[in-house]
This record gives sequence, structure tokens and C-alpha cells, in this order.
Amino acid sequence: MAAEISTLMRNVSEEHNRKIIATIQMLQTEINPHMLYNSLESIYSIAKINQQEEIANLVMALSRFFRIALSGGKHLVPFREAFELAKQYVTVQNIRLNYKILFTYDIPENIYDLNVPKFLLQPVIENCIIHGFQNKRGEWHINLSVNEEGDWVVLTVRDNGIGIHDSTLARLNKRVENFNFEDSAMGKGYALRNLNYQIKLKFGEESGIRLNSVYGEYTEVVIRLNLAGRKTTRG
Amino acid sequence: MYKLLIADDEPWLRKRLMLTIDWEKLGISEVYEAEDGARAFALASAHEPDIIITDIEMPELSGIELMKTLNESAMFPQFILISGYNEFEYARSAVRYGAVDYLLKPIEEEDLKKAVSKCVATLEKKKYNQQLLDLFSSSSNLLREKIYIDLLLGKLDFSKVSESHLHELGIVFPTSSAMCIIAHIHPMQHTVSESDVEETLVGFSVSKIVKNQLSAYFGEVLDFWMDEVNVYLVFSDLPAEEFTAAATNALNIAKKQIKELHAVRIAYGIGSVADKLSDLCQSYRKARYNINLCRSQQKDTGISEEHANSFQVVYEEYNLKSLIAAIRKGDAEESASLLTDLIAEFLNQAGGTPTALQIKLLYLNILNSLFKGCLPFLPVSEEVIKICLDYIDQASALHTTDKMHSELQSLICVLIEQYQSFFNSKRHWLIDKIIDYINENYAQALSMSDVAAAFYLNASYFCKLFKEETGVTFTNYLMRVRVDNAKRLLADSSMKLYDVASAVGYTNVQYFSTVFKELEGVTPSQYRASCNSK
Repeated sequence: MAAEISTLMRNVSEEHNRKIIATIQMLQTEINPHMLYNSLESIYSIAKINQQEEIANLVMALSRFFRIALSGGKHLVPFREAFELAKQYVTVQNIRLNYKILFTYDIPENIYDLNVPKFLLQPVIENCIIHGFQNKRGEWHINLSVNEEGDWVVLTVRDNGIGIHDSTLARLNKRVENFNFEDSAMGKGYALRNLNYQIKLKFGEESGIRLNSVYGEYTEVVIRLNLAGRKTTRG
Repeated sequence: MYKLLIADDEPWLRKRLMLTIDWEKLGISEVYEAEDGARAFALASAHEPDIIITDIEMPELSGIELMKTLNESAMFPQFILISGYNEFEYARSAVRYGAVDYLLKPIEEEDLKKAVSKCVATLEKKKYNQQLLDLFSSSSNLLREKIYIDLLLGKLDFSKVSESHLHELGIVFPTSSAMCIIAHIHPMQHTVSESDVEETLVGFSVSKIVKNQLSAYFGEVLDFWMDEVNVYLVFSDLPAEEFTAAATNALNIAKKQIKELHAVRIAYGIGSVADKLSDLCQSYRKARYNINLCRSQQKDTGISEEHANSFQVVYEEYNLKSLIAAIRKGDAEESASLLTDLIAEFLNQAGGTPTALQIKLLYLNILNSLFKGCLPFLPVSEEVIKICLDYIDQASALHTTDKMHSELQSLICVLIEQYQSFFNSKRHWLIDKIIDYINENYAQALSMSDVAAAFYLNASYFCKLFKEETGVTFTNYLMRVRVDNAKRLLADSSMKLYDVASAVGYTNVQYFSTVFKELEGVTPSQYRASCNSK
């Protein structure tokens, strides 16, 4: 009985999941890319003609973000593209927030060609900006550091935001760890959970995401990728 | 500065590129805009832009089709492709048709500037390479021409330069043998032309016709301007006799064309067939010899082997014409010998005993030809006409060839005398102009090469011409003019000596005094003193 219910639940979940995927695919195909980019070009041009550099910069960053985000089909991309997506995302947000964010990074040269999920960094940085700082005064500092440790690549995104209480942190880590379809409502923390799931899928069970924080000082998201555990299947 | 065309159906994009980019700074002087592919093609055809920025997706003609169509029309501008959407197929086609860059919309200003700069750099490099190429080929052509001229003049020392050295420089017969040909407007025709400009133009046209006709027969023709004549070098694999015959045909056709077009005759001299580079000077000498022969004989063709084969031809076309030419040249000796030959030929034709009527007819015929051939070129006085008429009266009293001979001989002497006195009074047409030029410019530093250049003359030719026509060298003449003017200034004014020197073109007073003393026997100061004491 319990097993039946569980199966039923899984079916419902998978149905739900398929619906989400279908919606995304529809969105990706329905938007005529020429229409989108020509419109963005027009906005950029009008801004340039009227010497509105802020608008021009915002449109340019947004265009570059879309360029990668909407490039259909490819889930695995070279790290440079995943990083570029994150960078353009920061640029867009920075213009919106009047250059409050300082984004720094330290990446070894050989990492750029490593194949990673397209949305490896962007959701993490989005989390920082949306949840990490609240209305914290002063400069918002986000640092990305990438380190190689044997077969492992460790990416750390650390902010100087408000931090997370220990109890909340434990709960969050548990939720990220235990991704399953039953819990997969698109609520809080969905993005990180989904990412953790995808990472495990590509780089094996040992890989994954973990949050560390000292309340009032920082939050960091550590992504550990086991290169030895990579699956050969693509896409 | 380069021309650029922007082709895109997005009006804001075009407006932005037209308004916000400092094209001049990028090296672009003209910018055109087109709203679709067809218009872009029309503008590109009309203005031949160096760089084209084109959208891929356009009405009428896509960016890729535009590139293809232009390439097919032999236009290869630098292309910068722009597109709303990154598609691998587009990029691949773009690269195939030579796109420099592939930019995605919205086009970032800096990216576009970088792409345009890249195009400009490529264009500059192309231009530079072309200039180098031009320079190289023109300098090597000059060298080649110089070497050929030296070869023709026999100035190249074959003990120092081997034929294979010359082959390496591209100086090699493309065929087994070569031949030198000289052709120009017949010397007697020079008096006909009305102006120098006209003469020059006709000269150009003549050499072009000759060259065209020769290349119709022999392919590549090299031509040189040397020793005041056009020299042509033709190449052929034909045996010597056929080679000469082909050259004669080509030149006769050219001669006919020139006569129809300009109503002038040309003279030509055909050289011997040269089998190797070192034989070229012989071919040139032979051509030179033949054309001189043709000039003196008043013939048009310069093949010395050619002989007239009937009395009629000899009498009308050969001896009489060369006799007239000899008279016009003022050559008494040659005209006497030609007259003797002519009469001997006549006697021979007449079987040794001509009738009195035959003698009278020949006499009158020769008189007629000589008057027609010589008198129109002379400012004839009444006295001369009277003398000429006396000779006609003599005809009725002529019975022997000896008498005819002596009468004709004395007439020839009269005519030669007329020609000599006329020509001795006549200077070369340029000399008066040159002397005017010197008189106007003596106060400045004036070298012989300056004056020669002012009249477009070769310096050594100028030197020779000046000496021949004036009897003194250019330098001596200039000194004379300067000293004469200095004398005037010394006598008329109280100008300081160095002012006088500089007023007549001497910057060094010491040198001026030396020249003055040399010509006048006294120093300028002594001369002034002697003037004042008068």
C-alpha cells in the first residue's frame, strides 16, 4: 500500500516535473530569438543615440545574459560560459542596485574548459544577492574562488552578507541534501536543491553543495565536483 | 581613408552607427547605409566600399547572398557580419566568403570599433604590399630597360657579365631569336607639322601604332627611346629570312595606317636577327644603318638588300628622290655622284645612244622633279626663279648627254647654294627660346641641367645642341651674359661689388671677379674706374 502510494506520488511528481520542463522548453522555443535580440539592439541603439550609457550597459549585460541562458538544448557547457552567465547576471543586478556589488574571482586557467552545468554559478550568486544581504549597508562583496584538490574541483562563493543562524543553516543543508520529487515545490531553496541534484547526476554521489555561515559575518556556498566520478553521458 | 557600407533593416541600429561612431578616427571617410540587401548591393556596386558591415537576416538579399553576389562581381571588400542569433551555419558561410568578424546583436560599440580597426589594418597592409610590389616591379623594369639599352648600344662588357646573369634578371629572349627595329616619322615630314605639341602627339601615336602592329605579329614587344628615336625589340622563332619578311609586313601595315591616320610617312630600319643577347648591338647597328640609308635615299623602307629592278623604278622612285634629299642636305659631293649614276643608268637603259628627244625629255623630267622637290622648301627669290627658267630654256639646245649632265650639275650647285644659305641662317627652333630663358634667369643659380630640364631635354643632348647652334658652350655663354650685365651695372650705378655679383647670379664675389677678369681682361673695380674716368 505504502509502496503503491509512493509510486503514485512519484508518477505525479514526474508528471509535474515534465510539465515544468515542457514549459521551459516552450518558453525557449516560442521566443523568436531574432525578435528578442533585434529589440534589444534597438533599445541599445536608442540609448546610445541619446547618450544614455546606463541603459546601454544594462541592455548589453542583459543581452549577454540571455544569449547564454537561452541557448537551447545544452545543459553542459564549458566553465567559461557558466562563469560568463554569472558575471553578466551580476552586471545586470549591479546596474539595478546602483553598483553596490563588488564581485571578485580567482580561477585557475585550466578550469575554463571543464564541462559543467550551465547554471552552476548563477543560482548560487542569485541566492547571495536575493537572500544574503537583505538591506545590509555598505559594499556587498561576493568572491568566487576555484581550487583544485587532486581529483576534486572546489568552488567557493562567499559573501560578506548577514549570514545564517546555525539552526536555519542545518535545516537548509538538509533540504539541499535530500532532494526528492516529493519536496520539489518551487519554493524557497529550490534552485540550490535542483543544482545539487544535477551535480550528483553528472559528478557522482560524493559531489554536491554545502552551505557554511557565521551569522552576521558571511555565508559561503561550497560546490565540490569529483572529476573521477563524472558520468560519460552528456546533456 | 576608406569607404564603409552599413546594411541592416534595423533603422535604430543604422542611425546609431551613423551618429555615434567617430568614423574618421577609425580611418573611414565615407559611410553609406542600406536598409536591405538589394539596396546594399546597388550601393556597393556604385561606391565600391572597402568595408561592409551587414546583417545576415535582411529582406530581398541576405547578408550571405550579398557577400556571394559581390564576390561573383569581383568585389572583395572586408565583411563584418552581424546577426541577432548565433547560428553555426551562418558563421561557417560567413567565414567561407571571407568575413573578418561575426558580431552578435546588440553590437557593442567597442567590439564594432575593434572589428573595423582590424579591417582597416588588413586594408593598410594590402595597400602597403601593393605599393611594395609596384615599386619592385617598376624598379626592376627600369633596370631591365637600362640593361637592354646597354645591350643595344654594345656597352655591356660580356667579359664581366655572363648571359646567365642576365637571364636571372629576366633578360632573356622568350624565343630563339630577336630583332631590333627603328621606326619614326620620316625626317622630311618634320617640316610639315604645325606645332610642337602636334608633333609630339603624332609621335606618340605613331610609336603606338608601330608597337601594336609589331605585337600583332610577334607578341611581346619591348620599346625604348634612345638616341632620339624609337627602338623596338621583337622576338620570334622564325628562321631569319621569314622573321625579316614578317617584320617588313608588320611595318608596312603600320606605315599604311599611319599615313591614313596622320598623313605622315614613317621611315624604318630593320636590324639583323640576333640569336643571343650579345648579338643585339649588331642588330641595332644594322637597323641604324638601314634607317640612315632610307633617310638619305628618301625611301620609307630600310632594307639595304632591296634593289629596284627596272629603269622606271630606278629613275622615278630611287635615284631622283635621293638626289633631291642630297641637295636638301646641301651635300654637293653626294648629289654629283648620284647625278652621274642616274645618267649612267639612263645611258644603259637607252642602249648607250639615246636620241636627242630622249635626252630632252629626261632633262625636262629631272628639272621638273628637282624644282618640285626643292623649290617649295625654299624662300625663293625672283632671281632664283629666273635662273630656273633659264635652265628650262636650255632644253631646246640640248643634244648630248654630256651637255645635259653639265647643265644639271650647275643647276644642282645653284640649288645647294640656296639651301646652304637658307639653312645656315636658320637656327634650331629651340635655341632662341633657350637664349631668352637664360637672359631672364641669369640672376639665379643656373646649371646646365636646370636649363635642359626646363626644355625637357637630355643634358648631354642639350650641351651638344647649344654648342652647335651658338658656337660657344652653355657655361661660356652664361658667363658672357652675366659679365655683360655686370658691366652695365658697374657703369650705371654705385652698387657695391658683391651686390653686382649677386645681381648677376654669382654668390661668390671672388669667383665673379675671376670670371670678369678672364672675359674682360680687367677686374670689375678697374672696369668701374675706367668708366667713371670717362
